[in-house]
Amino acid sequence: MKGLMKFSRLQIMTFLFSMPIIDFLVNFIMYDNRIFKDAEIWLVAFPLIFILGMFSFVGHVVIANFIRRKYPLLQHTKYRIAILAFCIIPFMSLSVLVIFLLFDALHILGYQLSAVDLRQGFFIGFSVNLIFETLYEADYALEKYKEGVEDNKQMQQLSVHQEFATLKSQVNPHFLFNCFNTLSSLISEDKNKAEQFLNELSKVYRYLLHNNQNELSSVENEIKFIQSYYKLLQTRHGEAVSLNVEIDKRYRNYLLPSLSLQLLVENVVKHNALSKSKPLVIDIFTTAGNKLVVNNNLQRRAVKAPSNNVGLDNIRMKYELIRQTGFQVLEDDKNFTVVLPLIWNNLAELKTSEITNPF
Amino acid sequence: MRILIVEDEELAVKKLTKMLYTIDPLLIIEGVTDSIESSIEWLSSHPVPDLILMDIELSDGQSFEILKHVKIQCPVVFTTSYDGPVIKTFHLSESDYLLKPIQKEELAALLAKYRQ
Repeated sequence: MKGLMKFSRLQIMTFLFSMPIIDFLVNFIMYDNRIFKDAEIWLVAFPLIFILGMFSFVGHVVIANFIRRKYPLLQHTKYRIAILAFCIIPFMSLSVLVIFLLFDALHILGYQLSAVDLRQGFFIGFSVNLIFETLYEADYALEKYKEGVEDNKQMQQLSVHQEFATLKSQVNPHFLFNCFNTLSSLISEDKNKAEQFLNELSKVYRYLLHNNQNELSSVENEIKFIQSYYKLLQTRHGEAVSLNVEIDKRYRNYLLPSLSLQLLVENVVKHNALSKSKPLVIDIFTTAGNKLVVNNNLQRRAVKAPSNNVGLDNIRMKYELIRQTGFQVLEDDKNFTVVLPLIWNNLAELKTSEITNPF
Repeated sequence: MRILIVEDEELAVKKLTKMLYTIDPLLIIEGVTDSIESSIEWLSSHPVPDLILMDIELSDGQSFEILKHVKIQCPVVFTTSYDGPVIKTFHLSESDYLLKPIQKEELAALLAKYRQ
């Protein structure tokens, strides 16, 4: 429940500006023309209502913050306003009622409650709600909108940044030259295999180059891609590495950050020792709750491979930017596991045509 | 001439073996190891070969680790497919290296150099 007592500048300013007027009006309703003659009203009733009003204001803000926390997004605006109206109008009426009943019960400066007073009080309360809640909501929506634009910009920057990092590391010269070398061996050993290898190699590089530009790719494309990538690894390392993929068909059109699987598999090979007697086993599978899991048996190298942690950070950052929670990296003695939340693709038709598919 | 090949990629071993035999049918490939661990083991249990052809990037780390663990009394020629930053150090040292795919002429020249 922390953070519910947070006031925006606008809220504080409007309160300080409007409360004296509201205070004046309420006093006017209760004491009519007496307020122009009776100094006691200004000394007792005015400060008292101001304090009560302040409590009411704090209550309003807490309610509004609570609702915003439940429905934070710009797309939620309709729900937010409906629920806000549903909670805030009764709360304001209650505040007004409390003020009038308190003054009546304690006979403050001889006040006696009347139905007309109460009706006028409710009217003021409702007007105040209408004006200021609209103002706050507009302010909030504008803030959210700005944030969205900012996020977009950051996302673009990140993808440019990643494009560069990927070009540097994934179109990894080392990997490419290793592949050339393998290809050279294959040409003299097994021409058919050489051709297959070259096919997979060009698929992999085409995908790498195209999908640097897309932020998200479908599970289907990423899996096809990782299988090509795996064939390259397998040709080089033989039985020392194996990849098992088990994807529930209904997740095919779900999305995840582009090249995530390749980044993860590359990391696994980079940081673990692999040999025929101790093969590296990588499992990629989906689980209930829209999750894709990449798991491998841990066989840490005695000497750590140099790493700049670009891979995992990059994926984490992408999930943060699209505000998708659930990305996890788990590690115990035997396994290293990364959980990637899958994103429901409500534009499946549109997206699949947008996302370049070299396969 | 007795040679040890340290190389983790089976295909590369096949190709290198073939190439070595075509250059000199009389040389002997004493052993092939594919990791830091197995190389250290081999070197500490076998007589010193005349030459070691050693891939830099092995599946359990860089082959320089081997040199830290065993004192090697014979020349070592490093092989690598990518002349990245590591290679610069070779220009400063006396060690030889071969870029993969290995060119037959270069390999032949090196063998000739070490045969003497």
